[in-house]
Amino acid sequence: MKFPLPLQGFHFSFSLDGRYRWIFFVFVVLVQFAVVAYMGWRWHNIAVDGIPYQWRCVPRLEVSAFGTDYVRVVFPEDTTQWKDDTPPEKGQQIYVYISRDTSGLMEIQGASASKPFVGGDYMQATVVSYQDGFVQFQVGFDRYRMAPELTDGIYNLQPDDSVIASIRMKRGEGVIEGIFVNGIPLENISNGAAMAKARQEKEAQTLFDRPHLVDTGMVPPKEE
Amino acid sequence: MKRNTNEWLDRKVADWVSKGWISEESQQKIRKSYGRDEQRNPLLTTLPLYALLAVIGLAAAGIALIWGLSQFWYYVSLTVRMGLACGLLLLTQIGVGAAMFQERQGSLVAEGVALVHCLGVFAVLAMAEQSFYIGWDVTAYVAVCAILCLPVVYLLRSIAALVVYDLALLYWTAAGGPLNTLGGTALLWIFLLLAVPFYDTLITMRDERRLSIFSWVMTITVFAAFGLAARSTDYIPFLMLGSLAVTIMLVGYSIDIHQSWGVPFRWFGRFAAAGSLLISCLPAAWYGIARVHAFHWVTALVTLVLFAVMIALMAQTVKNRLWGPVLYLAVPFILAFETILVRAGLYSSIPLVLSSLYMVVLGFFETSQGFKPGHSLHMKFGVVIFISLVLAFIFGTQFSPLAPLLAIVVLALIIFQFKRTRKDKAAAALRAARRAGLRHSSTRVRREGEEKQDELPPKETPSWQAQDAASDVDTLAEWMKEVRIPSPAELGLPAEPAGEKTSDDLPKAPPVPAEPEEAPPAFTFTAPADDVKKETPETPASPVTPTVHEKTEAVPQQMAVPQEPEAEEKTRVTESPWSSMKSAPKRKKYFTHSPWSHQGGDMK
Repeated sequence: MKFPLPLQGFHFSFSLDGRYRWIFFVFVVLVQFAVVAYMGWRWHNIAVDGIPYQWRCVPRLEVSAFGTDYVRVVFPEDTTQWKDDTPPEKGQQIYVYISRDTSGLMEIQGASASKPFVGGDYMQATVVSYQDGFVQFQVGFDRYRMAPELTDGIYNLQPDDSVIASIRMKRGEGVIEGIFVNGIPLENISNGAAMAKARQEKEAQTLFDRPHLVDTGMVPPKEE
Repeated sequence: MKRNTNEWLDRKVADWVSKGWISEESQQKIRKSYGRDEQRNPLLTTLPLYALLAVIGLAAAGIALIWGLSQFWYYVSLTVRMGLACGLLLLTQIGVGAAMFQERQGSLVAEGVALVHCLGVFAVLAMAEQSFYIGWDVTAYVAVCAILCLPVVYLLRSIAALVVYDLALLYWTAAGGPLNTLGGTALLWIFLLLAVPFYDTLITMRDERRLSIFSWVMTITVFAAFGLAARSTDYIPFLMLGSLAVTIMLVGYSIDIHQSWGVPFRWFGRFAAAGSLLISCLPAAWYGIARVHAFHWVTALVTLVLFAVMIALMAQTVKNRLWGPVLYLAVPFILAFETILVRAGLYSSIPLVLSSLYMVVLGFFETSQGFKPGHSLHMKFGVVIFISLVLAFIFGTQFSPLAPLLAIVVLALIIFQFKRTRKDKAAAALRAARRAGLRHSSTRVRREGEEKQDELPPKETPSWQAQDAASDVDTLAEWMKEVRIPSPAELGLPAEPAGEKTSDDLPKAPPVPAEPEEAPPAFTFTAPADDVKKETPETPASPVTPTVHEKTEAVPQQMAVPQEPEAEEKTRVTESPWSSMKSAPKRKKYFTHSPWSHQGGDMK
């Protein structure tokens, strides 16, 4: 059967039944592994080389059918002034300009569709809403990895507690290193941590340190 | 039942081989022929129930395994997680390599392996993203997975992987992926173009089934992606849509009309071209065009490229099918002209009127095409165009005096076409009736000839013919009198007994009078010279063996003097009188001058 070729004159072929298909296959395999490796390297690079920041946050429990190994982190300071003339669209990626205040906490200085000039630090975010020259945004690093039995410390948080997320920032992307409540790691204020501590202390005690059920001093003297 | 039949066929074929009736090669071919029939059965009839149950059970087991793992997933170190991910990826890659090594490309097994590989890529990247979390950008994740899954489409010639790729691209577009990616919507078209060479691969491999699926999937994907991408634009890019539609339609026209994979290109192209023209009939669409402030370089560049491709396609491959493609090819040019008008600040109603009128032309053309037998879809499409136009006028615009005018034009055209078609049909029926009355088949002519011969008394040579023959004998030159028509025996035909019918499978020829045995051989020209005449009897009786038709044609009919008129009378018509009909020879033109042609020349 004769097969008429459309686009005659623009004929281009990508048939891989030749001898180069194995070369192409090996190339594809390497690229796929490289992508996985790049994801790991990117995270590690930010965690090691990133600039440390401290930002106020509110941790929340995440519920899932299969369970989770992290808590959701919400940053209340998510609204800032829009620096550009053209208003942003919902879902658009923007750059939030950041710096440190006198107390060392992160300070939001505004947002724009373009990166700041050399020297200014920034973080990537997406637009949630825009109104009257102010944009509400959401950053990507919104998870903190925690053991499931240690997440109940969230229930012990008080409104006047100082909850700070320690973040490393590099090229607009960030990694949360830890969450501290009044200077104490969130993991350490959970019931699970207390029980673990008690268990650890119990295991650390020697045989002589353990309290005896019957105090020897309470034993009545033998009647002679 | 079919399985029993196949088993019976297996036994029979093996028996035939053992008896030596057929060879082993023939056995293989026969088995392959009915094995292919088995493959064409629906999947559910061939797939046993226990296989379905096994699939469901494995799926349930997989879900249970994932749930169990998730309970202590936190305690699995990152290294082990990545080891698991890479192991899974390697496993699917080995599967792809094994399928390639066994030359299973383009088979059902390859489709399954490609699908598993795609699932593996999606799962592995999800594991990596979740473990090394810096933000869950689902659009970026889906785009990366789609790109990584594309090579397996080519490596295994898998249409299933292509479907995965297209779905991923559509999801990426719907989720707003092009918005935050370098290149924006242009990147979407580049991604779609990456799948186009697969068409050429399938053409090279002569894979018709996958070609059909490819053309349907890709056409739907292209237009769906266009619609999804157009949601975020400030205006409706109907110029680009029209250009894209006509380009796709011309690609469809460049494919052979009998091939199934050209259908979606042509029909979707028509739909989209008519749709873009319909959009341009709405004033709201032009308000968006007029409000655009910045010049969209990418859109303009892509539109120009599409125009170039359209013109090249028209000039290269579609020029033979003129009217349909040309009518639709005019759509993007009209839209471009109207866009220039509007962008130039001429906010008149010219674009609306022009688009509406051309919409009427398109509807009229499609409706008239639908009157041809086997083109009923064109009729429906034409009606849809008219209805859409009317609805667009009613709901999309304010009532305009143009609307009743257009309605009158449309109705007049429809009535005119209807009357014309009725007239044509009546004329065709009349011609068919005449043709039926004049129909001559060989059997009918033969039968009629027999009946006439039975009815009529045996003919005698008419007196005028006898006189002519006698006068011919007197007037002809001596050498011409010796020219004779050869007998059937001399022509190599078997002597046909009187009253016996000629076999149908023999070449049919006009009746040839019989020759005496001592007559010169056929086609031997007897020269008048006596010395030459002495040498001719040495010539064999049948020097050449051309067909009877050729022999009889070579006989000079004007010089054929019937020597046995009785035999000619008894012969019957053995063929259709039109079977040996030749076109009339071209007459040589002689230019003559009218005797009055020179008169009046002095009157100047």
